[in-house]
Amino acid sequence: MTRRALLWRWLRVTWAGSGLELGLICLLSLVNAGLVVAFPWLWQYVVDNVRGADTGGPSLRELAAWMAGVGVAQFLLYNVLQGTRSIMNAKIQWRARTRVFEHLSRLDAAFYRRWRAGDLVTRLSDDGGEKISWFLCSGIFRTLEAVLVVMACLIAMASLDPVLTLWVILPLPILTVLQAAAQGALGRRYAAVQRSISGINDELEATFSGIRIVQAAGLAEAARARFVRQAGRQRDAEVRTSVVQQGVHIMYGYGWQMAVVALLLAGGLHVMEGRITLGQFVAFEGFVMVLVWPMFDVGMFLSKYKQTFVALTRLQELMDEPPIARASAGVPPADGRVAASGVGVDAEDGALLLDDVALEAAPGELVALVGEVGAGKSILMQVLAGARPPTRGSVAIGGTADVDLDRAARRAAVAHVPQDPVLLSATVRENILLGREVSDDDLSEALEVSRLAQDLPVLPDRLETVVGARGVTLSGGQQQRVALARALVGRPRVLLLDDATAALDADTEAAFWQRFDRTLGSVAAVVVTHRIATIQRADRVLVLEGGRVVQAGHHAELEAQDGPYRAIYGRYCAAEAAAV
Amino acid sequence: MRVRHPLIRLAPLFRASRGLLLIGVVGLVAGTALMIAGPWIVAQAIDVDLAQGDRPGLVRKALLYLVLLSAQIAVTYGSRITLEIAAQKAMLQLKEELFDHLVEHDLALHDRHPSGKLITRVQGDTEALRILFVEVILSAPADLLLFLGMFTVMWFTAPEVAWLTFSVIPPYIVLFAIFRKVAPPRFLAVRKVKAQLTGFLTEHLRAMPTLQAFDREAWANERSEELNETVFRAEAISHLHPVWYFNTVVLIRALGIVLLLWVGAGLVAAGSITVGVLVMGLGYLRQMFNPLFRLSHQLASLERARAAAIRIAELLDTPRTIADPEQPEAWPGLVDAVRLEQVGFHYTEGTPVLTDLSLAIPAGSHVGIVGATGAGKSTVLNLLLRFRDPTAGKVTVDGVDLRDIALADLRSRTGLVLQDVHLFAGTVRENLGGGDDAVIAAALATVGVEMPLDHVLLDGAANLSRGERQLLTFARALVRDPELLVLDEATSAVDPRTEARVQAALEKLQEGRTTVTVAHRLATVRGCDRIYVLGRGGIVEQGTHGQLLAAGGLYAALHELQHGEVAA
Repeated sequence: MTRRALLWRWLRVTWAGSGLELGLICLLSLVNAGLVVAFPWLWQYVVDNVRGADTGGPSLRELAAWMAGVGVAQFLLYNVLQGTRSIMNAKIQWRARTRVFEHLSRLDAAFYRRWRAGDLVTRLSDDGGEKISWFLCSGIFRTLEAVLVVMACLIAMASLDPVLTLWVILPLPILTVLQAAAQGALGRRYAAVQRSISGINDELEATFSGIRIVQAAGLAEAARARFVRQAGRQRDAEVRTSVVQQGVHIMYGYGWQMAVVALLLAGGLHVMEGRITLGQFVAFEGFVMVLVWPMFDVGMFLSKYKQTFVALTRLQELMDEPPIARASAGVPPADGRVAASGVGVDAEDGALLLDDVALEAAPGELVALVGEVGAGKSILMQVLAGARPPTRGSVAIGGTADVDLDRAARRAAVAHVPQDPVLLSATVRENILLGREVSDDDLSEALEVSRLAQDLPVLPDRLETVVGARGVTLSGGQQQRVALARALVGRPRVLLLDDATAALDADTEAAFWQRFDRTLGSVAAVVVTHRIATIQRADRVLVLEGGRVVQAGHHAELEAQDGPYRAIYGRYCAAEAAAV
Repeated sequence: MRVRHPLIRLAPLFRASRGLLLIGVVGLVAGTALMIAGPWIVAQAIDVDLAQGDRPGLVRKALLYLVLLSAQIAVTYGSRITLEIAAQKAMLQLKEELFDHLVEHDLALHDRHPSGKLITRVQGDTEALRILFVEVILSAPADLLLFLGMFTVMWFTAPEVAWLTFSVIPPYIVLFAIFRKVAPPRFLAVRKVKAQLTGFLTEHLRAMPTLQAFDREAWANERSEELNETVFRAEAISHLHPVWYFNTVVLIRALGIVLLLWVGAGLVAAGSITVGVLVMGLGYLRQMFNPLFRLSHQLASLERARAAAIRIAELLDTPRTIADPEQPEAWPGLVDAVRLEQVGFHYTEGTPVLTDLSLAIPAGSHVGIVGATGAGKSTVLNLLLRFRDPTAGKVTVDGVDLRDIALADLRSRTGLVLQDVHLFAGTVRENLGGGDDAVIAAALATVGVEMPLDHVLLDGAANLSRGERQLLTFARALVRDPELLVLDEATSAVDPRTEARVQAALEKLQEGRTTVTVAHRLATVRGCDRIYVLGRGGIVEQGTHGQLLAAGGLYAALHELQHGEVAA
């Protein structure tokens, strides 16, 4: 995408619906330019008035009233103008962030496996923050304001004395040129600072996270030497940067006074020659000061330009990720029969994760998956859950193939509880409901079956207890019970439990299955488990090895066979014995 | 007791660079003095040269202006760079102080503050302070002079209008007081709600696949919309404060100018001041406001710097709890045993990790400590090397409490090898703690690593194989020739050939040394003279590998389980 197209796209996205603000900003910028110029314009009359040079101009009292009026008008107007720009800056962030977040919410699980959450957060909060909003609003419209002010100023000056105008503005563009030149050098030096900072951060991270070794092995001296060396390097890089940066500041702080020298010389001569009045000379000095800030704004605009495009590109990268296809007008699953046939999954790097797996669970059936770590159990669960499309083969729910199913209905029918449940920093109730509306009966049933009900009395605010980073830390078992309740409360027809009961003790798990059979007897369940009791309870056990089903059948059958099942089962038994 | 202002607490940092500071501040003041001269020259040109039509005089004034301006630019630029260097020097010193403080500080502090937070203290907070010093505090004398100087010149040339230039100050002070009071809470509110947003995003993006599975994207989007709107409101309000402040300063300035022109013009007409003086007053009024404009966007960084200074001071003032005794006893030489005597330990009151743990590690023996996750193995390790002090009971070496031995002494007699290798970017020599090259080379030879001492390791020793990394950590312990060696799960799974090499090195490392091996993998402690099994806050079993297996308790069960894992 070209830069212009990128900029236009984001301008449209972030300004849509703010036509009023846009118009207001443009209009006020225009009026503002007039007022800014009017102020020094009036000075000439004051000076000429007291010099007795005027012939029928306004009186001093009138002039004072006019100037005060202009001052107050500008105060009111500029508050609104600047305020609107500020508000739009914030609004642009709001729109950009919600827009990107909305897009992210439509990206599939594969995307979330590829991207680190930290990176996504940085892009949303940093790149989608001031980095773009300043440019997309203030940057553009301050520049517009600057251009208008410069134009109004030039018109006013030229109407007084065109030749003097040329003399006076001659030094000013030099500022912009120097600024542009300085920006290049500044960018490079700033990058050097950034590099040295991340170098130090790595160093500190290594030292602090390995503090025991650093202290025990007497490495503090060496670590200190490295830190001092790197911090010294950072200091040097920073000083080198400030050599340029301070130059830019000074240029804007004082460089404009070169124009005063030009004015003093050329303007003074013009006054002597009678081409302008002394009042006009004084007004010119006022105009010179008016011209300084616009130069600064333009320079700022140019310097932020690059940074903004980097940020926009990083956001656009996310927006270019293809979303999950919109929910088709497919059919809802007829019942809870879940079937996989010929399912194969290749990893992103081509490795074989699953190969020709077939599985079927009818309503009311319990299918258990066992196997070593890396055998493909969790991958298969993800495929059944619809969170990972199979490379080969297909999954059907209620006899309808995945592609023909209505997405929302499929999601409602199938509940997947992953190995590591994800809880939000919210109340237990919110974590269970996730904003769904369910009846009290359904909720209390889910609490009962998941056995979470037994935890509630020990939580300070029961269902309203806030958990997570800013609240109570739940134990692993409690987290799993919340995740179970979350899955059950939607009354699914297919339940996929990926080792989701591992942190429950054996009694709790037994109680879970008892309740489960009683109230959810018609649910088809597929579970990954290490629990002997659950394995024995299962209608069928599938043994996975290297992504393939190597044995299948009831526990009793498998135990009688000569195969990997026996060893696996033996180990599970030993583990349970050890845990008791 | 009134606590000293955190900035004053940090002032001694500038002692070393006070010469530079003085030059810088004086330079800024000199630059300001030249700035005051500018409008005065213009006034002279108007009153004298223009009035008399003196062309050469006008040219001289213009040249004088040019020369003074150039001098001003040069002096100001030089001073700013000088101040920058001084501030950088001070901050570097502060960073070193912080680093020294942290690198020697208790494990408790490091456990409490994740490394990311400490990095922010060392890097981010010092940066906030630097900005405060360079842009506000060190510029203050020059800014003040700008005010006073301009007033003084006016006072001597035209006392009648001098008071006018000052009349704008009281309304300004009121304005700033209001701004200073109402704006910072808004800035803080924004930071808070933005932190909330970051938390929300982190959590919900992590949870997105789950939310999708329950078809809750719309709900997540609603919440994102809500929170972003809250951020928007907080930000919009906080942005408006500098806006009204800035514009009110502009208004006060404009009204001051109007007042000056109005009153001044009357005075000119009456002949008590000249037009030039009036123009000079105009010039001063415009310039003396510049520092006040700057404050509109500096207030936020001022507040940040204040918070940073407080955090840094707090960190520096956090005393070490693991500290040297007042009258240290010498390391007794470990001829009898290291003992944990009725040791209790808890991180938080009420949830004990260890209760009444007693065990002995006889000199020269190899002892293993095993137990399930959470049984307190790491705690025992931390107690043995005094990274933590027990909350009850004591740890002794030949009867001497560890707390009575100087830390440096203790550390030089003990060694630690962790599974997590913690090798740093730097040379092999640096990674092995520096010191005598011959000793380091001997240690490397003992563990069977051939590597030049100047060999540079990348971050995390990424340019070494896993086996080599482990061997280097052995060598690192060996360099100190420790009497007590603690191994925490020191070996991890490697290929069989490397395993043999690592094993051989490990045996050499333990030779003739009192060794404690803390392990999850039982295979690691199989050869120990004595194995303690931790559980329920104390020792539940002890004995040799064979005895424990025969006893058929927890150890035997764990062994059964792990043996299966290995076989698979």
